Parts: sequence; structure tokens; C-alpha cells
Amino acid sequence: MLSAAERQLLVDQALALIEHVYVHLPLKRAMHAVDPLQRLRLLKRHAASLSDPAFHAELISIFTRLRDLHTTYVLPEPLRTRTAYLPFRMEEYFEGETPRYIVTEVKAGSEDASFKPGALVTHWNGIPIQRAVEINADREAGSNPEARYAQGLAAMTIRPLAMSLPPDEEWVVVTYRVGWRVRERRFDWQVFESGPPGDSPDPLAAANGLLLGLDAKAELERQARKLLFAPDAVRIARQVKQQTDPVQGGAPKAAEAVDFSVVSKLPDVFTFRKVTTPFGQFGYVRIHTFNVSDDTLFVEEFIRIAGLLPQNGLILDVRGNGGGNILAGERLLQVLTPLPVDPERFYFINSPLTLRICEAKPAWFADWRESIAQAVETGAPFSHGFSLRPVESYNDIGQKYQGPVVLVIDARCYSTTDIFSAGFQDHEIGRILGTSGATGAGGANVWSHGLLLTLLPSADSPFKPLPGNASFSVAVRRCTRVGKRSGALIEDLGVIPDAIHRTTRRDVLSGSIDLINRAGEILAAMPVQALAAEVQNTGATPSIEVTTKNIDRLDVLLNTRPFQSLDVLADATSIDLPPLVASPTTVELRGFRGDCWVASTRVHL
Amino acid sequence: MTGKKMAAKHTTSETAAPKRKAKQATRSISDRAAEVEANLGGSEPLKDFLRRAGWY
Repeated sequence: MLSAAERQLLVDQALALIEHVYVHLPLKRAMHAVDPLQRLRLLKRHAASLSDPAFHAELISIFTRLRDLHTTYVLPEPLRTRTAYLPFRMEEYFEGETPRYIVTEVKAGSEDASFKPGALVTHWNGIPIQRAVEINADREAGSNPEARYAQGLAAMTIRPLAMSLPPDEEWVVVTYRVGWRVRERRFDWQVFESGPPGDSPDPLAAANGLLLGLDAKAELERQARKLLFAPDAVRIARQVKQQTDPVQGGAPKAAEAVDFSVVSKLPDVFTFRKVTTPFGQFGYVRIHTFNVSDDTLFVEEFIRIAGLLPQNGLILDVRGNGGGNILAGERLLQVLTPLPVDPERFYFINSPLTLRICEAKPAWFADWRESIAQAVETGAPFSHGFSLRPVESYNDIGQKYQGPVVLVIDARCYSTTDIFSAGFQDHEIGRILGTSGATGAGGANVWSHGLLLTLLPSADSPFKPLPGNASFSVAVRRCTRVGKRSGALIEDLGVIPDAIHRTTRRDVLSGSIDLINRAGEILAAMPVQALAAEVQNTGATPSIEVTTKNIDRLDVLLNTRPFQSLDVLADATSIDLPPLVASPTTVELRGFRGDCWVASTRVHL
Repeated sequence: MTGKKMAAKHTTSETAAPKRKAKQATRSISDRAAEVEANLGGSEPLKDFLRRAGWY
């Protein structure tokens, strides 16, 4: 139970965050006609007279109505560390234009002869299932209707109590159909103490970092689903840890050795395989999360995986990915494109408090500080926009996968995944195939209340420690797109795919087979090119042997300076380099087809 | 061995295999269920947790 003083403190801190730090407040007021400040003032006035559940419910509701999965109230212990669940997963697919809801996973020990994957759910506590999902969706914070609906569907069976109120009902009666037989079964809501499986950072603590773009609730749900329905994946993650980190994981037994040609060294992040479609064999990589502490390790592992797969086309599936480390998403783009990556720009809202934050850490926020200080004269609502890191950080590796790429998105892609998808589209890396009409539309960098407390720790700081390990997270820097869509917001708008695929029954029950075939069809229509270089002689006058496919011109740069441009007359070309004057020397090869720059590679001498 | 006895033996061996398989499957399901519960660190009915937490 919270005391009256603790409730006042929580509301005061929420007011400080929303009024002075929250970057989307003007947008949310316009887009969703909400007045969170007045609701918080009313809550402050009535807080003492409310029960604990009613107080938490109102505070959650105020944040939920912002329709911003970044900006949330994290409930205190013991709710913070618990996840409520029903022992099955339900997904949506379409028969024509009609949505159907089907059981796709059942917790081991909870299935019976009829309630198993494939059972078609028709009613939920007597409510027609589509209406029940809609009612649930209205309680969720998704930025657009499709995102809210997807969130509502997920929350039907899994609810992290850190950010959702416990279900009102203690049990659920599910009416379902198997063939033509209609049955009912009752399930009690269960709860377990959540903790991140494997190596993923705790989503609730992750916002203590500066560069996060994450839907923490989606990440908690993903981790819970893995624990509930994928014991094999949990076991593999444990074995990988033993093999890659013997100090912490313990020495591996020979029989348990993991084959890293089919398993990622970051098994919680990547799964991959070759897929055979009617249109050819392609690579398939699922990025489950960008929630990693080391973005370089993330990019290196992706490069390793991409090298194991066919080079004639890649299906990159980020469905359900709630984001994570923004640098992981933005730095990955360079691996897939020959063009220099222009990262997104991030902006603070102009206020005395954001100026104070920037002045407190000039080494981190010097770029933003000047324009916020100028706002007194300019009246500008937002600071100037800057990338989170110098532009060179996003281009330090260069292209590693040169084949065509199809990106698969859905309405649960959020934040870093939005930013990655926007960068993919803005740099024209490939085509985007969506199972919904837009991504989840979270365009910001999110900070926790704890991080703000660390940045402004003094006695006169507006931020105070919160009771019971409660917390808030808030969108502090919004981002805008680049390229042809320069300046466009991601928040509330998301990324629109080039093509839509309606999820089929075979997709949800048989490994996305129709979706992958559709992606294969798109890939087969895209041009394939290749450009590889090998150093032949590293002596005083080195040379490189270049092999190409579907490329008719090569530009050669030595340590970023132009050296030679030549027409490609055969698939193999030898290039003599001048005597080296600098060490190390990087040779960059740029491959063109017509006037289009279609591939790049770098070699180091 | 008489034809009747042979038939009886044949029937026994044919029905034993599915029974063994069913028993193995049951054990495999219970092992899997135990593994999931261990991964979860145990779980309890939500209503019990909420009562203990003073939610009701």
C-alpha cells in the first residue's frame, strides 16, 4: 500500500516529466485530444481518497491515453516483477477479409485432446472474440489503431503487471471449435516472477541507458512467451552461454556443443535458416529484438550470419520486435547498403528543464544545448536535430550483404525497429512487406525516471526517488526521417510497407510459409549483384583480384580518396595499386550498374 | 507353438509398442512441463498473488 505522501510524490514526478521533458506532448494533444496534465492535477487532488488499485489504474490510464508505448508508468513492487498469463497463445489470421483467432501455442502440460494448436477461438467469457480483442485493445497504448489492436491481442493471454493492471477476471472461459465440434474450457490466470532469460538486458532497467528505443512491455511479453512456450530455445540459449562464456556459463559438455552454423551466438536476438520457396532458395533472418547492450557485437553477429546464407536474396523479418538499442538498429543499415548511411535526427522539446539537463552533461548534449538556449528568442518548440553519434559511427563497417533484401514488418514493430525500418526505406535498401498497414509508430529515444535522477542528482533537482521501485519512462528525444522523407515524423505515423500480406492459417501454424513465399516472389523480381575483392600481393606494389556480378563499372578509392574508375569487361578483374604510402590502407570498391551505385566492399592492406 | 498361442503373442507385441510409445510421450510431456515450470521459477494462481499483495 502506498501512503498519501507517496502517491503525491508519484503524481508530482509524473507532472514534471510530462510538462517539462515529454517531447511528444504537443503532438499527442493534437493527435489524440488528450490533456494528461489536467488529469494528473485532478488525480493529485483526489489521490488520498482512492484505493490502491484505483490510484494505479488512473495513473496507468493517464499514460495509456497518450498512446505512446515509450511513456509509461511502471508499478511498484510486488507487481513490477510479475507477469500474469494464460497457458496458451492466440494469434490472428485472415480468411479473405475475415479475421480468425487461433490457438498457436500451448504451455506444456496444459494441452488436451482438443485444446491444442489449431483450435479456433470463437468466444472469450461469452463475448465474440473479435469484440473481446477490441475491448482489450482500447486499454492499450499503441500509437495507431492497428498497433493498439495488436497490443490488445497480445495482452489477451500475457500481461506484464509492471505496466498493465491485473486482469479483472480471475479466470477465462474460452469457447473454441475443432472441426465442427464446439467446446469450452476454463483457464485460471496464473502469475510468475519475471526475469530476462538469456543475455537480454532487463527491459525495465534498460531505459537507464541513454540510447534506448524500446517498448519495454512488448519485450517483457516476448521474454515471457519464450519461457512459456519455447523451452528448447531457453535450453539452447543456456548452452550457447556455456560455450561462449565458460566463466559464467560453466564448461560445456561435449554432447551439448552448439553448431554455430545453424544457431546464433546471440540466440535470444537472431534465428536464421535457408528457406526454399517456389521462387528460389533465399536466406531468412529473424531479428527478435534490438535489446542488446553491445551494438558492435550485434552487428558483427549479423554479418557472420548473413555470410552463412545464400547471397542471392535475404528475408529480414522484424515482426514483433519491440526495439532496443538505437545504435544497433541504425548501425546495422550500413551492412545492407552501398550508400553512406544518414542517421535520423533527434530533438528535445525546448524547456528550462531540458536546457538544464543538457547543461548538466555538456559532453553528451553539447549539440542540442545551444538551440534550446536560443529558444527564449526564437520561440522554437523543439531543439535542432542531431544524430545520436557522429555520422562516421554509422558507416565504419560498410556493406557486407550485397544481394537484394526484403524487410518484413508488422504493427508490433516499435521504436528502434521503427527507426531501422524507416532507415531501410529512406536509404532504398530493398522492399518492405507488411502483415499490417504500418509499423507500431514509436519515434523517439526513451529515458527512465532513474536516468533523469542520475543526470540531475542535486538536492534542488525536480526529480526525486520513487517509492517501492516504481518508475516512469518518457520519450525525451523525438526523431525524424531522412532522404526523400526528410523531416517526417515516425511517431504515430510509422513506416508504410510497399506491399501487404494478410497472415494465413498456414503462416501461424506452419512457420510463416505463405509469408516467406510472398517475400521470395518479391526477391526473385529484384536484381542480384555481387562484388568481392581479394588481396593478391601485399608487397610494395599490391594488387587485388575483384570478382563481380551484374556490375558494369568500378570506382576504386584508397583511404577514401579516388584512385581509379574502370569499366568492367569480365566477371574477374585485376587491379594494380600504387606503392603504398600509408599504413594501414583501406581499399574501397564501388560497383555501378548504369548510373546506379549497387554494391560496395572494402579490403584492408 | 499353436496357432492360437502365436496369434496371442503377435497381438501382445503389436499392442505393447503403442503402449510404450504412449508412456514415453506422457513422460516426455511431463518432463517438458516440469522444464517450463523450472524456467518460470514456479507459478501460482493470480488471485492468490493479488490477495497476498493486498490488491483485494
